[in-house]
Amino acid sequence: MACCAPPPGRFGKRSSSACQSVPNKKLGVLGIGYNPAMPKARVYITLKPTLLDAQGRTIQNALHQLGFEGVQSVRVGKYLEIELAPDGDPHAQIESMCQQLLANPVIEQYRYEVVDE
Amino acid sequence: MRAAVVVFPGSNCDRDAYHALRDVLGYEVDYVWHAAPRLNGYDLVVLPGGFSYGDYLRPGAIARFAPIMDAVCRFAERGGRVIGICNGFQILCEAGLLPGALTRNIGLKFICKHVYLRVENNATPFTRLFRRGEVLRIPIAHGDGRYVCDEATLRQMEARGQIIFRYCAPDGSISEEWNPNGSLQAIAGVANENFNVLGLMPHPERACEAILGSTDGRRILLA
Repeated sequence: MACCAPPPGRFGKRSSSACQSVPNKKLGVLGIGYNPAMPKARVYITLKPTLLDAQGRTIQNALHQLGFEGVQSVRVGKYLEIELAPDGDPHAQIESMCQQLLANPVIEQYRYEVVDE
Repeated sequence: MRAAVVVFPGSNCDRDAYHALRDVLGYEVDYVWHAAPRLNGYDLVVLPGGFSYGDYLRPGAIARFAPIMDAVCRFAERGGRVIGICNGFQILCEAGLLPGALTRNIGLKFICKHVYLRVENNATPFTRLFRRGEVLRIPIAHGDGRYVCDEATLRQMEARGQIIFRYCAPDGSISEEWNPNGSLQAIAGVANENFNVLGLMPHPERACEAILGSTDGRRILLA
């Protein structure tokens, strides 16, 4: 289920730059030295599509009542921003975090992207 | 009988469980703090209801990594009897000691009321004092009690008799009308393959004295 492909929709537009390493503009206090890029991960966790999302359904009903009758589906999820130490493999670390704690594989799926700040 | 009631930060039914086990059933009972490394000399371990670690991330998700949970897993592997009530059930599912998971109630509401339960399997240490099909009246109090699991797991559990309690009407019939939280197949409680670990959303410890409206919970805890 996991992948680090950019998520669809609005976030997808941003993530073209997200996967590139951006030069770090932060310099040391005295303007000397250089902070290595701190990898940051964005993790998206949602209920598996086969599961009823009670919150999403309620929000969908509310949107219909507001006149957004075209709303076909709403799925609610969690979004986490995680800062990592510059050493180590961020993808492997995030993958392991998702499997062990961040997502419950019985009911949830996850995806993430790693960016440099 | 010696029982341990595990106390996590955010447990709030630990005292009810302690009272029911000690004052009503006459067990010797200890509170065991979540940071304790061992569980020695107990016949029964209870994971009580509440909101361990504030239900952060998911109910039970953080609690399953508490130091005491290694000891609970070892205790269960040795055949020790473990009951998880409400949040305790959620923790046992997160820990992988029970199949499935508990999700948000279908109506999103926190539901606190007496419900009817049908005993689906009485050949377990927790239900041996009931008849099969007997209807119990026990309260629930939860916001995340909708039991789910995948098809294959459900079939396996049905074949093995691991579905222990279902929500039902007062006459024992099963229908969505009497399924308070939208649980898959009205499942209210399940056991592991060896039947020494039980998880249930209803609170048997709140149904042990006539003054509280029901004594049906006694026979579950008397196991």
